[in-house]
Amino acid sequence: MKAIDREAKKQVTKSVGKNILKDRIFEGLVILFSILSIVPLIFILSYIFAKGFPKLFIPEFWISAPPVGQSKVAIETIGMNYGGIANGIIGTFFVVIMAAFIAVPLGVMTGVYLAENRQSKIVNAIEVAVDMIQGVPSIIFGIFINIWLVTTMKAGYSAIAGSISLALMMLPIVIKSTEETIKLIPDTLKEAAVALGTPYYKVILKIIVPAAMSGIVTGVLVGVTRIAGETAPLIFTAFGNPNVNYNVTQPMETLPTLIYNNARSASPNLIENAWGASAALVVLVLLLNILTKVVVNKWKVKF
Amino acid sequence: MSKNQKHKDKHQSIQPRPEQAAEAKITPAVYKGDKIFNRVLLGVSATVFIVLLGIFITLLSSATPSFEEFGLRFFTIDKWFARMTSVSGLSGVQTANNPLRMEVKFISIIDGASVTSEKFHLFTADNSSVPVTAKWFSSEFSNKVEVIVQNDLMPGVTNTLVVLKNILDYNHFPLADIYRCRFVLLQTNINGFDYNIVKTVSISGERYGDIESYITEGDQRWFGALPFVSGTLLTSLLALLISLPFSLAIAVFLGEYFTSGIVSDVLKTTNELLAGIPSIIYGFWAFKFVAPLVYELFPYSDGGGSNILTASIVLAIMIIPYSASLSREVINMVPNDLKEAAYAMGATRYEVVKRVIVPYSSSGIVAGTLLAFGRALGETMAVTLVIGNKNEIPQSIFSSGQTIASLIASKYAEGGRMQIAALTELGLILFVITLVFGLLGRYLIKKLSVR
Amino acid sequence: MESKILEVVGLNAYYGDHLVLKDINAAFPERKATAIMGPSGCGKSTLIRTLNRMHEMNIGARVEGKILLHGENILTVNPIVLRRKIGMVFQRPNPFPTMSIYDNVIAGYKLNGVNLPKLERDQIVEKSLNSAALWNEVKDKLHKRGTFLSGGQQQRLCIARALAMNPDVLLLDEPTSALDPKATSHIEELIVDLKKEVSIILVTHNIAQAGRVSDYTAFMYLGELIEFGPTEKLFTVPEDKRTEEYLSGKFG
Repeated sequence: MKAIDREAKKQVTKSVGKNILKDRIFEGLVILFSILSIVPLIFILSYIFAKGFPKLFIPEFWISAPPVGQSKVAIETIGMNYGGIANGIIGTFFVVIMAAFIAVPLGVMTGVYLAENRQSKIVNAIEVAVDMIQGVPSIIFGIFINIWLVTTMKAGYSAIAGSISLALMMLPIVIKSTEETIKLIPDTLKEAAVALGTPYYKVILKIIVPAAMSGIVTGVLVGVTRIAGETAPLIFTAFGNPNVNYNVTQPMETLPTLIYNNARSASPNLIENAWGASAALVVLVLLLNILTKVVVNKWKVKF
Repeated sequence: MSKNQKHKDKHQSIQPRPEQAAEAKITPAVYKGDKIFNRVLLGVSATVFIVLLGIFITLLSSATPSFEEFGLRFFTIDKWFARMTSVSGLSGVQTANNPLRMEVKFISIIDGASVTSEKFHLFTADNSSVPVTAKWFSSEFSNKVEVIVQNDLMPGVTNTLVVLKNILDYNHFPLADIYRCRFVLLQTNINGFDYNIVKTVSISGERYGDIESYITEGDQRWFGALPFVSGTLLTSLLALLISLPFSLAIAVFLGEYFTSGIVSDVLKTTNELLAGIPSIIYGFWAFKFVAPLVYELFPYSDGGGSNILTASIVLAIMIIPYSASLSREVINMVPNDLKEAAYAMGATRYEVVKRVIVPYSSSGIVAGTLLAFGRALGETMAVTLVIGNKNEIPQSIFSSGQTIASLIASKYAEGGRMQIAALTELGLILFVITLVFGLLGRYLIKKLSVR
Repeated sequence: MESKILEVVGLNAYYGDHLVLKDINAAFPERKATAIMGPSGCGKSTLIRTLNRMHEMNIGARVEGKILLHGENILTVNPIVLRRKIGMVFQRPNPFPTMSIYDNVIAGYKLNGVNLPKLERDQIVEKSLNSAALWNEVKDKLHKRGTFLSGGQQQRLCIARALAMNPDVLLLDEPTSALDPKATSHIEELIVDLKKEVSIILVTHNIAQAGRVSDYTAFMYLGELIEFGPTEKLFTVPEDKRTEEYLSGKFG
């Protein structure tokens, strides 16, 4: 081989070597950063579980309310009493269910209408509005409901106000999933029902909606999971309540607001209480996530 | 035949276009009997639409007082002053031999405020000034001041006591209050003694809570957006920068290197978990874990660890899943033949990623990044506990600051008509900014799916 | 002369401004099978969909002229009532996925809120499935989902579903296009049996099928009805040149 060819071959081998090196480095970086992203998750979950999980096994934790903050002296003499999170649990339960009661019928009906009338200009406008609302910071809904319910109508803080603000957050999710699922249903199903002489509203109610049920339920579950963990809209609407309260026209505490209110306090037993509430909230959200996955897997109707 | 000929000439086209027949959708509009059903659905959808629109309109109208008051200065003012205490009442007695001793009572709404100084000026009806001395009843946080008026005042005439208070709030930031307390002295005779008693005519100044407030001249009160817009943008940009390498790595990892299998499932699940953790949990954890950590690593940072840096770190962790999942999807969608062509030319995986995958999926990656950015902008709970709540433009990433969402969360419940209007105006600004980024991101996604 | 069950008089059909059926005049005989055939885009699907007023469901679709069922103009009758007298089976089998086989057959009644006593329901289901030559294959699994059947079985289920309503006319829109040859021949046999009880109008792009199955044939081209007559005559001595060209495969 000529000297110049040998030189060229050496150059090519060197550059190929360089490329392979770059490739290895890149792959290493990708894997490294991907694994690193798991680290915060491990930290968060383990921290919360370490500090909060044990409390979940104490029965009183579930049925009593947080204590009024004890002074340092009292804690040293009597011992730490972090009370319970009953007010938060009951509040979350009430507020989330009420929000779902509002958002699901309205959302499904709107979703059906949007999916069935795709060509109308009004429908396009509504779709754009729904899309826009999905990106809005949650605190805005709190302000909105606060302005109307709490201030203008002077109804004061209440669980109902809180659930309405959460329903507004859940609405776009339900609408979108209903609409998308129905859009996927092939027209032949409708044709079959129509050809049997079924009136339109029955076609929708008895054929289309049942066929779309899996997607609708998925959307509802996703929405519920989202709002169960929301705090910001609630601090101006449901506000929070240190006592266990069953009256929905009064301020009510939810798990997220409980954590927010107690985490900032100076007394250590309230902070411990907040840890327990955090663990409870994380468990709740995890369970809801698993439930959603199970529903999606088991209930898909294929076309 | 002629009949058909006539029809041929009469109508424009003859053959039904196959695409149109296939495209024709089944619509409900035809059935008279179903009009009620359709009307109900339309009503519900329209109501939903109006409510969604109503959010914007409500915010707009609620923010109007602030906009009228500050106008465009809102964007240049870099302070946030609010009332901390207010004058609640005057009383006092002037006798023949004793000067007028007045007691000025203050309502203090917020714990932790301490008075640094106050000035009292007294003006009689013809605007001439009368010297006064003032003294707090006790040194610790007190709410009563005794004012001794040196000269005798005429009864029946309206005098004005101007109270200027400088206060440090619980974050040691200076606020100012001006109150104009107008009073008259009424002649009274009790048990044979002549007294002149102070009767309050009006007290003007801004107050807290649900008591009506009104603006008076010279009130020192400024609400400006500058500290918070800069705080919001700074934290979100920093969060984006921090999260970018991670989310891109995950996207490439899942979209190209490990698209299926156990490793892929694990990473996908952790990504979903990260996205599913409620924001308050992030905030609480950050408050108790990240902030002290930052303080330990950087002892010169503000707020004991509660500063821009900590907030950005938490935000970054929160938004990783959002850009990662969208980017992963578009990277996965790159057609195999493009990649194979590159491999066949001897390219390494790195080169394929750099020169084929990334350019092809760039708009999707950008869209995901924009969406993540929009999320970071509006995040409240993860930030508010660790941002330091300092209503000033941050000097560096180690200073405490404040974001729009966090400010609204902390100050909204304090009340005060103008403060709420200003907060709502800030909320509106946030709304618009997130809307713009969100729409941009969605527009890019739509452009992608068309392709 | 056989009696005519369905008569089309001066029918023009539009999609918006677009005229797709031009001045169709035809009379379909009772208790016979009539095939409508023609090249793609000739309007045969549109025509059959006007017969049970399904084509109205498309945006901007409208119809001029008259369609008479037993002498009554169906265009003035409530379409829902009409569709219980004229049934339709579609190209792609479409059993309702959320219902069992049993419920699918009886769906026409259930969806309209007609509650029959169980005995009557069972009878209708059995009779319809028998007429559709499906009973023996599914009688033990009546409560399973319809979607688990093969393509041919699903189509027969759809036919049973339509027959359960006891219609006067059964419309079939390319019923075997989506099926394999074995299933196709099953359905064709079925049609030959069914036409003794129900008047059948079927659309097909398969000339041979039309020849095998129908008593009368209509040939359509470019939205017009070119020729209509007894199948044997039309296939052997067509009157119109275009019919002849189509039959010999000059265009399709």
